[in-house]
Amino acid sequence: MLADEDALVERAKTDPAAFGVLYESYVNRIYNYIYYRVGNKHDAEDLTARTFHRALDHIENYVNQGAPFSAWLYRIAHNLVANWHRDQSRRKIISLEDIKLRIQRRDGPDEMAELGEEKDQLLVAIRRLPHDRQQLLILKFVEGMSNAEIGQVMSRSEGAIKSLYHRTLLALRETLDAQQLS
Amino acid sequence: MSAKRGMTVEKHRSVSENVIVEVLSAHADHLVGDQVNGEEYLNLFPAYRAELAPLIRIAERIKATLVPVTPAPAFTATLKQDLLAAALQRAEKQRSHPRVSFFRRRGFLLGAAALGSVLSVAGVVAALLWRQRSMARA
Repeated sequence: MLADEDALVERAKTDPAAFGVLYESYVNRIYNYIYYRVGNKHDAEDLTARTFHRALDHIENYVNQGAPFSAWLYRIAHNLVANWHRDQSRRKIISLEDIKLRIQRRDGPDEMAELGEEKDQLLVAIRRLPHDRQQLLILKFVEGMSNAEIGQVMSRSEGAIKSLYHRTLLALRETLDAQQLS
Repeated sequence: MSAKRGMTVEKHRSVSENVIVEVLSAHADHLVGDQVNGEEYLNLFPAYRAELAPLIRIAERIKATLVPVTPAPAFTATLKQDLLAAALQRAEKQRSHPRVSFFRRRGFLLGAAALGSVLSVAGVVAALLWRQRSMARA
């Protein structure tokens, strides 16, 4: 969190330069979050741009309710990603192989090769998890947030986040065990 | 007797589950800070090794897989330009057509509603008084 973030957010309601500072502070984190939720650079860039444009359109009505400003940005990103997934599922049912191929096409074969077989399997298993569990793993491992911070973004208690993390690991173990057997 | 034993098992299970939840949470926090060796946690809680070991291994695999990525500098620079242009346009619009903020608008609405309520109560009181007086005259 930025020092005196509240004052900066207030200024950003009327001052474009202040909004620019907020953008610089959070663009990498929001991009990372979206990238791991959608799995490719092209859509990650598109949704990151839409997140910040939406934030700019609505910052005038932003009211600090005790959570950091980033929690508000993550919620905007989360809603856009959820809409994106809904649109994708309407277009067609994407198989896991399609997901791999799409990542390969858009991010290049080198990056895909670097992931390795094991990481690849795990990424596919993570993308099969319910959205809230994917969100938890990304906020924890990519963004390095504490359980309390994740709780603020996901509107849940710290205890609920701990339990969700445990259930997520159990679900992944089950999926990975099944993958190994098959 | 068997019900009592069942309850004891249930209680024991929930306690051990709580321990596992807390250990995994602490392990993840240290893992994120690159300050942990999963084996240390397993040695600290030998009674839970069988349950914890595969989950700790998965957590370590997740950490190795979900590595932060960097957006293309050209993308972030272009987006910043677009946002600043949009923000400037918005600021100019606000200067030429000052918009009443949501809260000020809400304040006006609440004020109007309160005034309306006061006037209607005053109307009812006036009607009652008028009726009382005309009854007294009659």
